[in-house]
Amino acid sequence: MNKDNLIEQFESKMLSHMDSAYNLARWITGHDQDAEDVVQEAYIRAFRGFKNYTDINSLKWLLTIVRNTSYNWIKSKHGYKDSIEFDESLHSSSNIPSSILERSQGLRQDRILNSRNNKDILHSALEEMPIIFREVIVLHEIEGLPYKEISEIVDIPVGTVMSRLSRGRRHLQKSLSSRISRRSQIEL
Amino acid sequence: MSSSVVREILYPYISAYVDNELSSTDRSAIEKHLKVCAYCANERFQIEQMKNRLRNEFTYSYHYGLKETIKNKIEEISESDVEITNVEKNRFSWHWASYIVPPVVTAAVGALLVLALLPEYTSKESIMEEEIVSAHVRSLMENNLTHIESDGTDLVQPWFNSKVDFVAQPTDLDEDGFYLKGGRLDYINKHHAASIIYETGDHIINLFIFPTNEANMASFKTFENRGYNIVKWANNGLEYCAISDLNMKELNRFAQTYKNKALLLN
Repeated sequence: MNKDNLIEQFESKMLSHMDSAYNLARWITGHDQDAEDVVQEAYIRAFRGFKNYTDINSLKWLLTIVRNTSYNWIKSKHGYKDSIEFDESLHSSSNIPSSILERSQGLRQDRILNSRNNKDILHSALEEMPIIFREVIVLHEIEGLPYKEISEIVDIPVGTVMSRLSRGRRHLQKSLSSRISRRSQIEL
Repeated sequence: MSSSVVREILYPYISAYVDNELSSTDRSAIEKHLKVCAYCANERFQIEQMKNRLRNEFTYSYHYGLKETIKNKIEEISESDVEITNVEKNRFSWHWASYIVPPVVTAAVGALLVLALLPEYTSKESIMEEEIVSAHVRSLMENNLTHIESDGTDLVQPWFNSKVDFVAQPTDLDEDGFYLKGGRLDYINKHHAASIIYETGDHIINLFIFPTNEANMASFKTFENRGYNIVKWANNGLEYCAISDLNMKELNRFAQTYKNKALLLN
């Protein structure tokens, strides 16, 4: 393949995934500029390896590179911080109070979620969630990827994807619930 | 209604049920349960609500210039990988000019240019610093550190000879505690760059070498960028940049040792 063909093929196959690439990098790094730098670096890496991977699932391959690049970026910028490390004992679902699951509370959440302001509450709850949950939520709920593909991108078994997603959802609900009740108290 | 323990066990299944990710057996079991358990039916409802919210409203969009920037970078990489012969052409034209233009005029024009471009030069320097850090970080990513892996200077040196049009001199620094790992071709400041890779303890040092128009810079300049230390100097039209997560004192020792030994070899 000559140089022009290679670039043409790379651009037509890979640049169409830039929305997903940027979205994932943005959710992992938490910053616009960092995400742009990560996406640039990821695309350069992808281009260097493109000749050998022309027949693969290009979105899955790109997102794997974006994820790895994002993690390396965070490590080189901040060192190994809490944002990456995860304490199972602190975040296990058994520590989530069952009170948040009560039906009445749930219905209240729905009403609140429907107002514009509460989009921001949900957004910041997701932003502050530990990365290992956040990334599977983003890959599944926002990017719409099936468990199998997420397991390959994140390099964990499918069963772990299932459990991280469900614990991520619990985490999100718990976080939402406490934010909403905090706000209700302020309003009172 | 199920007990709280059972609810906790069932929750991941309800979550996977909503995602349509259960086997048919598990799916029909959960379906049956949802018909009789109001609590779990509400869990399902909550998950679906959250799902709809997330899918529709939480996508970030990139700055419109990003796609163009990436296209340009890919073009640049492609040039650096494919078109080494162009460097030969450029080198020839510079040699030709140096015979014709009197040295005094060259010096005067050079001095004026330096004065005129001083502010720009500063920003160019910081851009180059960024490029060095990015190239270093990229090299540390999986399987990207060396294009030729060898601890023998007699193997790495000829490999560079066929790739770049300047002398990249791998030097044996074993007795100083810096071990040669190999070489890599990179692209810095719109030039091909050779990178000689050394290892000391758990630290990797990339020593980038590339052509420069700067005058000789005998003393070392040191920088810190994104947590990496950089030591640079220039000699005979080549710029040397050593970068690592090694502490600055040791990186200076590396630079000094390399510089002394390379001088002896020449």
